[in-house]
Amino acid sequence: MEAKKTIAIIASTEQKTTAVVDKFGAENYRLLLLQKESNQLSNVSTEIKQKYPALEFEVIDCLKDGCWEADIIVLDISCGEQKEVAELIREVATQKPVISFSDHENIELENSLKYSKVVTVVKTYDSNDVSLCGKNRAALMEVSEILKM
Amino acid sequence: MYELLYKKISELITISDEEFNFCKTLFVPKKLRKRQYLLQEGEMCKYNTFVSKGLLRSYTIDNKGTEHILQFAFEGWWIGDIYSFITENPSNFNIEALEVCELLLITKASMDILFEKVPKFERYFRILIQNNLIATQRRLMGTLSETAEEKYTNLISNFPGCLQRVPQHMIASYLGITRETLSRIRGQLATRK
Repeated sequence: MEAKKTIAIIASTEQKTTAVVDKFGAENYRLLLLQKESNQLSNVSTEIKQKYPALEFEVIDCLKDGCWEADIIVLDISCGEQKEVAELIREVATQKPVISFSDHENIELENSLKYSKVVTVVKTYDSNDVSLCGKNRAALMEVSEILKM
Repeated sequence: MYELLYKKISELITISDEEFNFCKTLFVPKKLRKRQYLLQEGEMCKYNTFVSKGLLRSYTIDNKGTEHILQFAFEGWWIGDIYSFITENPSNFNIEALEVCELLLITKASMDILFEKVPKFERYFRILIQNNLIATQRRLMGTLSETAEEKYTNLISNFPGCLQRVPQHMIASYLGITRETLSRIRGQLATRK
């Protein structure tokens, strides 16, 4: 039996948080939903409890603590938020897979978290397909396995 | 986060700030809550783990469902299943946090990079392995030849903080004796004082 992996999720809106949870909610993961301010995700939390009754998840106020506990970090944030988030989590994200959802390849994030295994999931124009971008081949393989691609 | 690791490494080898900063980039920082697992039986042990804060135990469960504790790991110690780590075969061990833990994990691939870039780390890990071999040999001899009371007194003299942090039934399991025998020994030692 493999120890359950913990995924920390940082998303800029409630909708984005729900969309990320939908990708992992039915899988055997423990999810940490990270919020910058208290009660930011209280509605989402109720919704998730109803949708995935068996899911082990928790809402945490501190981005750094949540990422410290995590095995995998998932970001769905705007370019403007990236610098601040990277500063907060850099120290505890070393060597961890960081999956970033974006509409373009994210070199800036790779540079900000250069000791993490950053992989950007880019949505292909005019289609539902996605492609993975990143410098680290092993990380690309790992993330493609996590996302079951 | 890395202070204790630096202190422990510096006790055995001399490293520059630049070398240690490089070393830091290869570790996965991981926080575990009490009762969470670092490794579960059947899973491959991918990491060699340094304990910056907290306490863990490694144990197996036999066919009758009895737990056998192999090791406790306190701050400044390393823990893992070396057999699974080296051979990449599934582990027979579980490693569980007995307290909130702050850990630094390193994979075999990252260790190889570290040895290649900073070869003096081979000396550091060689000394660790030597010490581990000595401890394992002593523990084996203790199991084969010491009385239950000797095992207990050796444990508390080697790890004085152990009694305050580890539940009695786990100490009994580590020593390979029953809880009743442990209580009897503790009672006898208390009367003698």
